[in-house]
This record gives sequence, C-alpha cells and structure tokens, in this order.
Amino acid sequence: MTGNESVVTGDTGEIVMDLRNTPMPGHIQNATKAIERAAAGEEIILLTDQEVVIKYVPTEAALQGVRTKMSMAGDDEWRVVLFLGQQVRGGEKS
Amino acid sequence: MSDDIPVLDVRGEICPYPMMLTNTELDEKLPGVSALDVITDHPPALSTIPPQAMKRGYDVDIEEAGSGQWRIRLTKSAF
Repeated sequence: MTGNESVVTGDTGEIVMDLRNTPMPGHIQNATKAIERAAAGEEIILLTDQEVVIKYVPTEAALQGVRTKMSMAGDDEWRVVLFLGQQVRGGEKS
Repeated sequence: MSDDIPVLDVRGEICPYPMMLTNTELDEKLPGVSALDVITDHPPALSTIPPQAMKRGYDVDIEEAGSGQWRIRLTKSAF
C-alpha cells in the first residue's frame, strides 16, 4: 500500500479499498492491485475520486476476466466493484 | 439477458463510434430509458462508454458475454 488509502473488510467479506485523497501514482497502483486481487477471487470495492480510474479499470479488469460494476458515489466520486466473472469460452458460459 | 432491456450491438465498431452510438441511443433514440445493454468487441470502448453513461445518470455493469466480447449494462441510477 502506498499511503493515504484505507482498506477494511466489509460485513460480507468484501474488501473495501478507499482510495479517495490518495495521490497519484499510488492511487492507480492500488487500483491495479485491486484488479489482481479480484482476478484471484476476492471481491473488491474501490472508492475513488479520480476519474481516470473509471476509464482505466474496466478495460484492464475485463481483460483479466474480472466483472466491473460502477456507480457515482457523490460529486466526483465513484464506487467500483470488482469480482471474478464467469469464465466464457466460445460464447458459452462454463 | 432480459428481453425487456433494449440492446445496442456495436460489435465491429471501433472508437469513438461505440461511445458515440451509445450516447445517441441514450440522448436521442431512447431518452430516459431505464436500462440499455451495449454489446461490444472493442476493449477500449469499456473505458469510453461508462464515464459518459454515468454522467447521464446510469450505473454500469460490465460482464464478459462471449469470447472477446462484453455486455455493458446501463441501469438508471437511484443516486
């Protein structure tokens, strides 16, 4: 971890990573780590105040088979949920 | 995929067209629609469509929908 971020475990076992007020480049580095953890099977909730995160994360996550849900959490704040999606091969879910 | 949700298939389109076509759907063709599924096979579109949709008040759910293609489900936000 790189500084201002806060990481807590939610009531249902999900990891909540609050990156708000975390300066770059640590902010995006932690978002990248979150994708890796989600790809390994964890559910991660990111809270971010950097719009670049919602542009960067979905493509990177998708390429690792990670499903992404995003919503506005306030003015210039976003909530991003990352979790391992169902693997799809040849158009059929396995 | 629910039959009740309209589908915008932008497979074969590359940036900026997937985002532009989605914006046109939300702004002009289906203004105020409660949900829209966008199907794309262009990974960069996963970065361009969501910010525009969220600015228009939609939540975003991106899921792999086939080999090398994704479904972006846009749902009107309660926020």
